[in-house]
Amino acid sequence: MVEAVMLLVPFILLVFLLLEAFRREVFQVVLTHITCTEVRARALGERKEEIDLETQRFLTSALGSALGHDIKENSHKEFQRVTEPAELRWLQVGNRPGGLSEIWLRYEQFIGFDSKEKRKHHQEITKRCLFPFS
Amino acid sequence: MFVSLFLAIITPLAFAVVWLGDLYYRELDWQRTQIVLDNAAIRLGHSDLKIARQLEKDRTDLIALHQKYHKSLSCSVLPATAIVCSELSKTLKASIRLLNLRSSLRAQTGWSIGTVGAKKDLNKNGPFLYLNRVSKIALKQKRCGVCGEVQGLMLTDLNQTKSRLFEGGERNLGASVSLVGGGKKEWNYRLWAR
Repeated sequence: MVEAVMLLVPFILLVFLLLEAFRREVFQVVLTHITCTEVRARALGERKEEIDLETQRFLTSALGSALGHDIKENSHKEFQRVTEPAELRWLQVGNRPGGLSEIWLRYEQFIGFDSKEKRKHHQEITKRCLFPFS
Repeated sequence: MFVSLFLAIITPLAFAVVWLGDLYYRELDWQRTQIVLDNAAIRLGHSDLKIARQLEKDRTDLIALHQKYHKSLSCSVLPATAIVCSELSKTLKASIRLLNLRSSLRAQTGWSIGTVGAKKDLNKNGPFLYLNRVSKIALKQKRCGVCGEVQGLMLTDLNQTKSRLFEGGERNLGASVSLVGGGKKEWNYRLWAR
């Protein structure tokens, strides 16, 4: 019995750890996609409402309506224009960027751990994307 | 027991790794395809911009020739210079028409070359990338209000210069390029997100 519990506890912890790592990776890919889509659309002068709608649609199709909505609520976006749309002659891949987009997401994690005198129950991810992509 | 536990961990882990790998691959492929479409659109924009600038230059040359043509017409009324000036006006008229024709042919050829180049760019990078744009551009003939002689060609409806490059598939990837400016503004091209 004791051996079984001793074996089961690290096993469950390992499963949770793997789930966390897996979840984080999925969020990373999703956020990369969103930031890159957004920076391109905004650098090329698309309307913000349309971009938000497109992001919402993507999140819903990728993560389901509940989680997709949750991610949208808990993330903050920032866009910095580097080149005006009228100056697109400079827009070459690997050359001067048209824009820089950043997205920051805070999500609750399954297991908590001690960090700087307090228990941490969440993770943060920051993703940046430059347009043109390189 | 150890074997079954090991398998219980390794099997989903292997699936998860493969699934994540596929996710990353698809994301990179999305970016690569978008880069291909954007670059092809940029090259097409450059090519179209050259046409617009050339048309503008041809029109300026034609207007300069046209002024000379008017002068030759007015001096052909005077008896002393009538013969020489009437010959000169005929030559200028022929030159104006030839230049106008050359301008039109050059624009249409440039447009077709741009189309072929963009299609080549797209075909090089995948069989499911397409280009959608008008096969010939409609040019408006400018004429002199006094004598009715041709004064060059103009791009009127800029919507017709919008070319769409897209991927046939569910990803809905695409880019558009069109000419902007004209009139008092300098010609340029711009990319559109869709």
